Amino acid sequence: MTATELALAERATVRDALSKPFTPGEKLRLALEIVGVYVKVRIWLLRRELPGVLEAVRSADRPVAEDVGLVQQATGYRLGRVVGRTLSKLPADSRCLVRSLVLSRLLARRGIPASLVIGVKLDPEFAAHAWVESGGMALLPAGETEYGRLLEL
Amino acid sequence: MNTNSNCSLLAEAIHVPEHVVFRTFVQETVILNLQTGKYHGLNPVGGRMLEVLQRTPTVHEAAAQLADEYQRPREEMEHDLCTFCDELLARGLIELQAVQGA
Repeated sequence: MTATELALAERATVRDALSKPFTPGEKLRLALEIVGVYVKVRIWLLRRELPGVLEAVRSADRPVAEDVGLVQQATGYRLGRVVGRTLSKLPADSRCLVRSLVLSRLLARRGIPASLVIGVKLDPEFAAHAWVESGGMALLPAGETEYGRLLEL
Repeated sequence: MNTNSNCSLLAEAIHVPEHVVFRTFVQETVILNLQTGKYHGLNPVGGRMLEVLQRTPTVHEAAAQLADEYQRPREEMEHDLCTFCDELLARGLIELQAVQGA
């Protein structure tokens, strides 16, 4: 393939990763995966401190790539939206940290490198927020203009 | 003013453990203890104290530097810094580290 053909092929793959509709079967499998991971994350949070939970979340059989490509970022971004929508529809703890940990698990299973970021803001009152980034791109709402980065794991 | 018990820390070295992270903002230094999941806030002076404690070999030397910076008597700064360290130790935000032998 020529360089142009490769570039066009990648654009098509990224577009698909972002917007190709899920089949009903894929939707169901993904929803079940998210719920299953959510339950595990809640249990881990009861038993471990955050670094330990993150270690558990990231311990997937699939090796994680060192660098993240556009397709992976697009996949991660879409997964982030699905995780947010799925957890918000359930009587679940949809706090940012839980959402971030659930997404991190899904990403680890797909070999997509990502980091968990925790930010804080002081005005008008103190608040903390967690989100996931991959390749410098936020895969969950980051509120970057409001929150100063405190920690990246 | 009885400062004896507080000043036992002067010869100690202070270490911020890995499970404690902090960042200094304009109004406040925010500390997160990953073990407890709790956030703590320090005013600008407290933030500066923590920063200097991390960079100097002992609490005594940190007090000397801060006394100079804030134009305060050294004994007063030593007392305040020891009290500050006691509070941070009680919250698990710092640890005492063995000082390298001379």
